[in-house]
Amino acid sequence: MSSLFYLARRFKTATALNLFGLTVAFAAFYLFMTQVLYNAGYNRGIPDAERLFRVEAKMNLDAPWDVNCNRPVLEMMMQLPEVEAGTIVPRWGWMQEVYQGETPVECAAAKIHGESSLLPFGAECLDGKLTWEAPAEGVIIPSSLAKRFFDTTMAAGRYLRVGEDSVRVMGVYRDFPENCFLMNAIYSSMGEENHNNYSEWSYNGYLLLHAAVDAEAFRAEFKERVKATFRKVVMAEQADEYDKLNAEERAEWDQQIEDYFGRLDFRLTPLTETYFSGVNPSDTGNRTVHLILIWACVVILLVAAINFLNFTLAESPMRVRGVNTRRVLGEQASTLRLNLIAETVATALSAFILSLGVIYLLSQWPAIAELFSSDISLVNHLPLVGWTAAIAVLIGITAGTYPAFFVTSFQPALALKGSFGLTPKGRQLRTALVALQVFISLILVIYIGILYLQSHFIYHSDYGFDKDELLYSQLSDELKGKKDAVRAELMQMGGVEDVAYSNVVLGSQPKYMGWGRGDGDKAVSFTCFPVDWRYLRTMGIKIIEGRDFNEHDSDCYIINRAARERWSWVEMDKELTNGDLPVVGVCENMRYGSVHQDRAADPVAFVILGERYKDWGDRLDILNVRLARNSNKVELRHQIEDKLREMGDGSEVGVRFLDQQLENLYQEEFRFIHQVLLFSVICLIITLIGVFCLTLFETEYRRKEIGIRKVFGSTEEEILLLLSRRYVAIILGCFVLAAPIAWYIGHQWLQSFAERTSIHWWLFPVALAAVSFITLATVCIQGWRAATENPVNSIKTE
Amino acid sequence: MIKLKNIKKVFRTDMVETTALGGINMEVKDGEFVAIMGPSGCGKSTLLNILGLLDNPTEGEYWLDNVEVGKLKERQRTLTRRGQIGFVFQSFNLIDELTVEQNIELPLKYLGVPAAERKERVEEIMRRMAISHRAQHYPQQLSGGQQQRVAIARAVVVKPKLVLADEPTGNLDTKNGREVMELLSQLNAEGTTVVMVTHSQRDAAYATRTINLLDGMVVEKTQL
Repeated sequence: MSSLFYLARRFKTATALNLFGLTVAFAAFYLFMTQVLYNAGYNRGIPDAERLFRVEAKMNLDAPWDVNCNRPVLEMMMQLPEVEAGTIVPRWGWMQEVYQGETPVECAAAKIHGESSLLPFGAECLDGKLTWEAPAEGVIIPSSLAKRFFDTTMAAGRYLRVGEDSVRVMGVYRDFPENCFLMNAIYSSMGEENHNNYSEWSYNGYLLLHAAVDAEAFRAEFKERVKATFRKVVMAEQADEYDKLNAEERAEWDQQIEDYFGRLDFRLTPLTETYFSGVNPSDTGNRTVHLILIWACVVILLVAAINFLNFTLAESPMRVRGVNTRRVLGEQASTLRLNLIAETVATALSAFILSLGVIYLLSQWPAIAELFSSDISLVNHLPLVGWTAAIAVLIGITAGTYPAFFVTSFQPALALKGSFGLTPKGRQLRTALVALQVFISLILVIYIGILYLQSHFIYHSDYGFDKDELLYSQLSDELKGKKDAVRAELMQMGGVEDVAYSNVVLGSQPKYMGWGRGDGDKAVSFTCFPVDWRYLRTMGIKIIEGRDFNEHDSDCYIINRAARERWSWVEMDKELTNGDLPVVGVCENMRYGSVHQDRAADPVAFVILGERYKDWGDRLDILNVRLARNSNKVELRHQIEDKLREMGDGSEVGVRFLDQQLENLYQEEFRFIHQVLLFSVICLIITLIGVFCLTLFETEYRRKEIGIRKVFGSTEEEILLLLSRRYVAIILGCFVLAAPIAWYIGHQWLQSFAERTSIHWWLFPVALAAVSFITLATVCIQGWRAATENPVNSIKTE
Repeated sequence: MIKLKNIKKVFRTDMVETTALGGINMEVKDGEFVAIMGPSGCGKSTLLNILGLLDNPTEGEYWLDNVEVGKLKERQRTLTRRGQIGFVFQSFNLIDELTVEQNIELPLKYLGVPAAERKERVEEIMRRMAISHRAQHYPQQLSGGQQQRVAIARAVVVKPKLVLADEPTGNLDTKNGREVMELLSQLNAEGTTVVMVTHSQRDAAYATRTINLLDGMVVEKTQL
């Protein structure tokens, strides 16, 4: 160990950097693994998760799979004998203001099937009961909420204050794990709503199959089983009428069912796989991303291990004499080998312990915590901590074994005589390892470039509307009643170009209201945005056919290019489908959903709700404001907030920038990009540390050679050229291999995006220049010291 | 050719100041073969390093071919050394990963000699040193005597005016040592000035003049 400390003191920088590299690698491995475990364990914390399935449906065969279904069909599915239990949740949840004293607290709230409630998910009842006999019985709340509001989980029978009302707590359930789709929300019974409504496709269904059921076989015949049940139920409901039908009419009746199911499709997706399915907006997992993260963990350890091996290999020639002196004095070679391996294991474990400190500090840093959807605290991942320690030991053994055998492989008498730094075998091995490091660096730099390009593309590509010039705000009920006055006031402000109202904020969520209209060949399903007549011009959405809405329009559509191309029968100022609203124009496609799904190519219709939808009331409660391109947007935003507060009830009104909202929408994408960026930068730093350490040792070993060359007339520049030339050859060789591999990895990653950047050719020479510059700068900085040293001192080196 | 005026060399560390040379005055004429002798630590190698422009004196003047070179910067020293001075060391100082041929060729490369001429001159000197059959061997594959012959070949391949030899026979047996000394004598006979540091009276006998050093000072000059 004393010789280890001697070398550590002699090569302080290299030792410190090597320890730093290992520490960073262990910390990064831990952090990325928490995310991997989070992704892999999503929904698996729910009891019997492997028997739980989500119902997915297609309203039309050409529509994408969706989680929405109608309630009666879902209830039929729940009656199938293979189903042990099932439940139904309406599509929409909401945020509920619950008062704690006088302070309103925003809590998630949702409705649920009263009789089944959360039972299929193995919800544990801590107090009261979790199923309803009547909706009026109250609500069920999670244990965390019960503790927060009542300081106990035994809160059944107590009351929550919601606005002016009090709501009785009927039961308390234990919180579900964080990484599952279930919200720890306040649930109320959905009662009988839409009990028999086959046209309201706004419900999500979940089925728990019996343990003995062959799930794969059941899934394969699921649609047919639903159809058979549907036929049986409908026949039972209409038995009197059916009995009166003649054979021909019965055949027609049967055909109607066939036609109905001919347009529909159903399937069951295991709950353990929904996270990666992307069918629902909450399915935020991405399998490509998941696999990349797993590879990131492997690569980061590999890079660190190579680095450590490089380091121990590079310093081992310096230990030959010391170790073999011990052999001459009587020490066993096996004991010396064990000691050498123990030293590297101790170094790796020291780095592991340091990494725990780093992880602890990082977990206290909000920016890092935000980078991962998982909890990164050490106490919640003790098995992972143990595995990381085991890996540290393994890396220590791996990095120590070869050098231990190398150092003890010489005849002691011979070993005492000379220098072993430049044995051809050792030099070749180190060259190979440097080449591997440079190879990995080049792949990473190119990959970082592709990440950056895609990130830039997401931020700056054309969305189909002028996201940078727009502000929006949710109107209170009071302001909603003064829309014309609000518009008039805002239009008087310098810098405000237009004002419009809509039902939702474009780009605020991955999915929006879906409408299905028509039947037969003209059955259509599309995303529908209720808006006012000024909306498209305010947003900067371009009209490509027909005309924009005008102030006289009511009950009419403007569809997007994708819809126009899909529905060939559409004519301007004619009904979209039989009995539906007329289409007055066609607009350009927009990007308004996830970047992983090609929503821009999905059919969209903007609609002005008029007489036909008067029962819906005024749904346009989003204020959209278009600002002049060169206006002071921050100042205008404050002015609009002040004006809205003044015109409303005096409470604060939030006005937001639309481009910031879009960034929130792509949070998962950016989170991943930032994760991979972080990983790549870490790998790059570790790799460069490796190159730095190796060049340091290399120049140390070549000091004498450099001295001799100088004695015979070489200048410093010629020495640097000599040292660099080898690295230039290594870099160029590695580039030839790394460029296609990096291109392939980047290309594969980009495939997960619906809209993606192209991989520009200039990325490759830039990456080559960057890696060459950093590597050669490192070599030159190290080499300069040796090159400017007095050769008298160098040639004395033995 | 060489004129030293009151050359001093002091090595300083944080704790200690050591005077290696305390004021050397000496002259070496063209074509001389001078041996520098003295006990270990008397400053012989330091003096040789200064003569070879590998180090600068702390004080004093060093005139080489009527040019004051004692205060040159590193780069100027290197350029002055090129082609003018050849070195032979006790431990040979050959570059391990270069072949015999490449080692000898090295000073010619730094001098900018074209490749064809380099090849010719290297072959010629190898023939002269009787090491042609070892051209493609690496230094570790040679005996000590052969290595020193390679080192001498490397020193003289550029036809320098001055060859500096630091204990050139120190690592050789008697036979090989004698051969090396005869080579140096032969070079001297052909007009090359040789300055040699040695412990050996026998080797010093090959020189035309011996300078004795003690504690960094010239104590006696002997004309043979």
